[in-house]
Amino acid sequence: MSPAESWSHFETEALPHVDSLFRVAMWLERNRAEAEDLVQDTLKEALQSFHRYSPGTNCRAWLMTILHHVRSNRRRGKARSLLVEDPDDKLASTVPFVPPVPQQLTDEELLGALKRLPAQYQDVIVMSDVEELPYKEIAGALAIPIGTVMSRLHRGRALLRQELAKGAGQVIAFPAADAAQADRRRR
Amino acid sequence: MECRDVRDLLDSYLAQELLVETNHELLRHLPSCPECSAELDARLRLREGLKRAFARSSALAMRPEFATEVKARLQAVDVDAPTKRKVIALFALAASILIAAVVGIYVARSSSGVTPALAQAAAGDHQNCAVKYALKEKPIPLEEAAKYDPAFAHMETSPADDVTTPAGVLHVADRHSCVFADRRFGHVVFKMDDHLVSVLMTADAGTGSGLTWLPRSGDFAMASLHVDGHVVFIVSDLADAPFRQVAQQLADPASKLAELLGNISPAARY
Repeated sequence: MSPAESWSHFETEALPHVDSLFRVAMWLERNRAEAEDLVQDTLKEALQSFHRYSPGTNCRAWLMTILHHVRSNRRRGKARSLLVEDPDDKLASTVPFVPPVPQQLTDEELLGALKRLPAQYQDVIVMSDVEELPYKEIAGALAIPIGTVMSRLHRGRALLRQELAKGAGQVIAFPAADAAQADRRRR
Repeated sequence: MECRDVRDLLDSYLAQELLVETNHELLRHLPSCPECSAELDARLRLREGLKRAFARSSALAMRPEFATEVKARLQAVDVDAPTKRKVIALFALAASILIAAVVGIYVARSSSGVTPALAQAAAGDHQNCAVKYALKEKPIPLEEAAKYDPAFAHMETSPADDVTTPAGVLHVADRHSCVFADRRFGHVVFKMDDHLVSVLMTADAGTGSGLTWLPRSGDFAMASLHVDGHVVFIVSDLADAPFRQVAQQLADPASKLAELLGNISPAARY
């Protein structure tokens, strides 16, 4: 495949997912400039590895997996997973009460409740429920065993329902778009 | 299948992670159980609600011009150029094999008197192997390698990610464990400008000693540190003078290498 054909293929398959990638990056980074850098690096890596992508498979999931790998490489050493038994495996069975899901939920209530969860639960819920990544991919991206992915999902969803039950009306706040800051950081 | 089993499996069902047989069992249960069906609906509503909230949130939306900017920058990318990660991996691999060979030979020489010339030749051969990726086993994360030797787990954080030395600042590029000649190494690769500095650790019967300068092997300068049961090598393609500054700094407590050595005292080893 010529470079022009390869680019055209990439443009058709991958670039339509920039918006989805950015939304997840923004959620993870909580910072517009960091999110833009993360998406930029993800797409660059995806472009250079595009020969490994199998046409007809889920390009969005492929890109999301790359995004998480890029992010975890950036954070390597700063938020390293511990080589000890994951307390989540034990905590998963200790969620005392799982309230019903309210019938009416606004986007703000959902995101607000999610944001109040500890980060490790947010990550797996977003990767599984929003990005629809398979457990195996989540485990690989976060460098944790699949069993831990499942236990975090279990506990995280229970905690999310508790938050939704008690937190109606609390909304999420993100930093406003700061184009100047983004420009400073852009490569 | 009981209700309790179904509740445990509902999330995996929604994520399409169940085996076909389990899926069928669950689907057989649902029509006859209003409670489990309602629970499935609730979880589905939550899942779909989150997806929708992400897709619609204005707080998470990108700047309108971002997509165009990204596209323009990507068009300038040289697709055929190896990525930084690939380059680092190749260097790390090459370095690790060469170093593993040298280390193996060093250990062998200390007990069997292998000549430096033979060591040099063998190291060269192994460097060729590395370039051809003729590895028996792929490098694995240190965390995973800890099942072979718990001391490798300490290399997850020691030395530190960034080490300031008089010759420049080392930035960690990779941490992994590799096997050469049936010997497993913990390997931390640093980059300093265009140079690589590796810290390698492997089990060894030697006893404690301070920083020892080893003969240069081809393009690589080497130094070693022993603790009871393990040896740590510092290896780099730097010239001798900056290498000594780097190695001395790595051996300084501030680099956390000392912490690593403390953590692999005999009591912590096996």
